[in-house]
Amino acid sequence: MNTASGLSLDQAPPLSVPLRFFLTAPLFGIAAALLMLISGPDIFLSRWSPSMVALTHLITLGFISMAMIGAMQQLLPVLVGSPVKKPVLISSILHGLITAGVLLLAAGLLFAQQLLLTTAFLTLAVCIVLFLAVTLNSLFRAESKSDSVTAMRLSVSSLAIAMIVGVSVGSELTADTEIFAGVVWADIHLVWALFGWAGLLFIGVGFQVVPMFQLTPGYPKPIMKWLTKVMFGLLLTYSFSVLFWPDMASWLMILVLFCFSLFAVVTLSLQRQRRRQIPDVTLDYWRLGMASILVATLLWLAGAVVPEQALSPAMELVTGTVVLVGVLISLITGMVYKIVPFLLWFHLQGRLDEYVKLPTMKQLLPDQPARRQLRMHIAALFLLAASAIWPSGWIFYPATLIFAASCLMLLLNIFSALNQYRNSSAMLDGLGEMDG
Amino acid sequence: MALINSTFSKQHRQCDAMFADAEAAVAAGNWQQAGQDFSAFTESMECHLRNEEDILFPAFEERTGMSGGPTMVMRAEHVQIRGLIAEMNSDIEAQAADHYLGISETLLILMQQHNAKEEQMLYVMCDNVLGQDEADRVLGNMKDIG
Repeated sequence: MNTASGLSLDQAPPLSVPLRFFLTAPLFGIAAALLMLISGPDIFLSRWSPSMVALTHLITLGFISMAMIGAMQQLLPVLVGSPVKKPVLISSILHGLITAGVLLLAAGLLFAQQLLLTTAFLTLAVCIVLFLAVTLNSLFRAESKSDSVTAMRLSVSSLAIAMIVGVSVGSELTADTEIFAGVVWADIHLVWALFGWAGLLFIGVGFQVVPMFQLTPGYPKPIMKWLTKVMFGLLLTYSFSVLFWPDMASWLMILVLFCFSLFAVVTLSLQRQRRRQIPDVTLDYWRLGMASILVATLLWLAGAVVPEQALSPAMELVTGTVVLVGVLISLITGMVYKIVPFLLWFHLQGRLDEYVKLPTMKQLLPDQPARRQLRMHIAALFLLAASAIWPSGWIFYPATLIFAASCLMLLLNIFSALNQYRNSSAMLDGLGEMDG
Repeated sequence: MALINSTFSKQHRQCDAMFADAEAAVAAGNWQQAGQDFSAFTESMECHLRNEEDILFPAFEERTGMSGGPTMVMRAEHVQIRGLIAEMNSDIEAQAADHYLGISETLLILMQQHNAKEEQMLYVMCDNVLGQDEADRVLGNMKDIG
């Protein structure tokens, strides 16, 4: 096997390395939907109830970070040219730890079990420290000095801050605390996790993949050079101002949101100028993600102008829904629809000494089911946002079921691509035996 | 002066544009246009690949003594690119739009990753190691794509 030559082949980790994360992510989406079903619409009454915090982390760690950590195992060798050593071992450990950690965290919060919570913090902390060590080591060894590499370094550093703050906020809780005492620190945790870790990574990756997938012009040089650095600086300043000069914090947050909106507007405008005009599910997912950034910014600004509104849980929850489901899950799903079929094709191709006809990316993962899943995802986004505003059972339960359905469809789409891969792979084994 | 990088990168953009035109024509079912656009794309790609394999890479290999390094990897990727283009060529003849679009999806990613490696690493190295005279000779010998 793996007899073909090529730098990229030496660098590409085995298929199981990224795929285990991509297959697990939608399962946590389904787990989140189950938790919502069990808790009922009351879960949306507060941002800080233990079940809400459990729900949030099933999505942010179980779905979003799961997929991001998996993608990173692929991005480091391919985009950065700096492979992770012992990729299978490392990814098995990371995957096992994050899966166990998120489940323990959710269970600890839901059943008010201090021991579970403590074990969860420990498991997640070990997972993230290992991930940081591996990733930062690879990023600082990287010969490529591209702006994407800088963005990734800042993103991963943000994860370190988010984890440290998160674990310290969390460990001050006793399991039976109803309301999080350290709301200020919780805000700092949230900002680093969402805007730093997830936001900066997607911006850095966007610099490379938006022009690549759609043949758009490149991002303006000053944006590539400065945007993520300025944002990291703003996040630092914001964190200090929340603690010491709370009056300034809102203004700094406006600047952070301005940066995200700038990225969204530039991305949408580049995509309008794309050379490649054929329909594309990934493109639609990116546009949905960028539009959601703009909507989330407007919602936040509306909340800031009318302060009573900002305090209401509905406003916070609807903004959170737009950020998590509208921005982050959209961008992840869009990326998965490109990365998975390409990797499957690439690994089939890599087994050949010479060129043999293989299933195409679109045969491995066809457009139609992907597009059906996109429609389901959009329906889920609207219904979830609506039920954050009006937490009535009539909207809440359909929203939950449709979100579960869209996660399940994503899972099935990846599975069916993997099945196709297995069939072709078996066919190649047959060819190999005939040759031998 | 990073002339190698800018000149060869420009050919990437030209080929990208032709790739997109051919793909759009196939998607629209306009087979006559698709045939023309695809041959324009194929000729330009072949011309660009030959500029590298016959002129740029040998100059780099001679100067650095590295024939098993980055240029070998790039040559191997050229084989993959040519393989996909050959499949797309049969699809054009058979008017097999779905298959063409499935392959072009793959070719695009492969080609863009390949281009990125050249533009961010190999061309940069070429501009660094080839002296002015050698760079002038490479640029003088290479063919423009039309």
